[in-house]
Amino acid sequence: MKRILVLVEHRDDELEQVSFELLGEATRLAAAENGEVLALVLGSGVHQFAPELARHGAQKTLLADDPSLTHYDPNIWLATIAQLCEQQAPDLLLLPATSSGNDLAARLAVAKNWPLALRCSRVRTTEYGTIETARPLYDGKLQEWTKGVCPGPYLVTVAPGVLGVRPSITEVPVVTAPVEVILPEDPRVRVTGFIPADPDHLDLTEADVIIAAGRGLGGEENVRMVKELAVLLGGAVASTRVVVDLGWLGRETQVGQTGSRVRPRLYVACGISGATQHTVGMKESAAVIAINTDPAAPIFKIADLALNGDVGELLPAIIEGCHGRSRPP
Amino acid sequence: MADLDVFVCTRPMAVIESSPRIRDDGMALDPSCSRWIVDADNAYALEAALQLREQGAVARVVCISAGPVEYDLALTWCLAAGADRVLRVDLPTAGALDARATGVLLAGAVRRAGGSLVIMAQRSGDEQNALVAPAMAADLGAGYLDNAVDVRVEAGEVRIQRRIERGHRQLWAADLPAVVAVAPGANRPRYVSVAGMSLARQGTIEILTSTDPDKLPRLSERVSLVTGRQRTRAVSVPAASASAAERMQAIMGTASKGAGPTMLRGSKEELADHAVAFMQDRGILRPGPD
Repeated sequence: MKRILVLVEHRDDELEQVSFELLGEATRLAAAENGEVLALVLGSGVHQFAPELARHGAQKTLLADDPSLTHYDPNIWLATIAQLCEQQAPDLLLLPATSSGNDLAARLAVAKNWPLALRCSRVRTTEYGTIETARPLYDGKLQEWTKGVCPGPYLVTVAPGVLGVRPSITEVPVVTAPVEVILPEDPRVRVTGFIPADPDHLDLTEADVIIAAGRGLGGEENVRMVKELAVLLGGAVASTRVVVDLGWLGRETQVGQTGSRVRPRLYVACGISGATQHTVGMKESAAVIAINTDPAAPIFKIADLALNGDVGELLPAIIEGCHGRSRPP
Repeated sequence: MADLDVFVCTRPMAVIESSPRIRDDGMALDPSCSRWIVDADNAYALEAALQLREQGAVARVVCISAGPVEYDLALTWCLAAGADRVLRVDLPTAGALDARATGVLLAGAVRRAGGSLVIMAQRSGDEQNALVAPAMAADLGAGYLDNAVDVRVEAGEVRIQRRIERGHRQLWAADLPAVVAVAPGANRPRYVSVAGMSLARQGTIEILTSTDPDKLPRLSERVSLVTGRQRTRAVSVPAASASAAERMQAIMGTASKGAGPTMLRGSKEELADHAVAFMQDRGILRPGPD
């Protein structure tokens, strides 16, 4: 592939890990044909990202910097990227399989009649130069390889965490170029507002971080500490069935056999013993911190960090340590 | 908007019941190893439409599918849940079209029926495509609103709350015509009883003839379908030093996953430091000042 364009995902002042994953994959694919890897960043005040993107493989970073790009707006994104692709003529446009990446890729595909593959796990180039992509089907039991049947850049979205991040390079030249932002007139879809996440009502299945309360908290008055930590970490509050039965938290917070099944990046089990009925709902969490006074509590067997102590005393200290260090939600 | 019909696109999903087998040509799933069931993701879309009818925002809920006779399962289920009318665009086989072509085919059927509001699942439960809805919207010249967790229709305008990462919501709006893709888990679909399904089987499914599928636009085509690699994640051999009971537990899979992490004890400050450092390592927290 001669030219690969990577759409960079960022949130406030931070680049999302998936952007580095996509740049790593683009670098691998481009290397075979001595191709070029371009990073594309849309947002407001995004110049700061260029050095880090260069260290992860971007030979040039294209910056669409405008206050109108602060939040995802499909009309502006679509018009700006469509024009850029027509100018740059990339062979492949790699996008993160996120809410905005998938939406944008689908809109571009149908608007421009460009080939599309969503939520891919692999990309390859055949000996004839055809791009083929693989994605899991039927709950991962099958893998489908597809190829585009129309001209234009191949639009491919890749789910975060699938490719992994390659090591970055230390000394690289940083090359940037501005991108013209297109503001379409009379768009069909209007972006009318933004509602920030409310930790009290955050859907557990969407949460990156979950702070879970168990009976070991000692009393309803200590639930406020769990909520405080959840707010600090931009996470959601969960509970065991016992806590729900005691009335400390609502039934919608219950995780386990008769509650939600969750897979957050971090699950903090506060005063939870770890009965099977609960762990069945959270055992697929990427990381678990368990806090309990009982060293024999089963929760410690599935924890990545086992803290043997009183949760009522530990939580305030953890909250204090987290102050001022939480990432923007 | 009492004269407005909402069209709900639906189809059943295939689930693999045994070891997956691929057809001899390597291009499709062998139907003998799968069966059709109601796609739970479609249930959220239908529920959103039924709620609009109950709010008086739309007059009728019309469900539409494009596929072979096996797809009647999904339409029967829609009737049982409360749909007013069900249509099927007849196709000889399932999976004959790519998502773009399916969208264009369904858009044509909706256009002929005079529809201006379409609701469907964000993606199907089996093939996980998310292209039918935007393809329909493009073909109908309609606004496309995706990832909806709340759908409202008022005065010729559709307003949604759109789910984005980390629990945030965006508010989007579009004038009719519009196509809305409903996110999984957006609502609590109503229960459909076995008796309800039996009664619904007596209902009428209107059959529509399709455009020549070969004339529909496509974006991609399948090169091959392969069974997923079965990868061994870990091989566990019970320790010889363990007791017979512990070894049996390990073999039977009833034992815990190893000994677990090192138990950390100490002052509350020391333990809190461990927790904070762990969260920093995992990218949950920013690095500290030192």
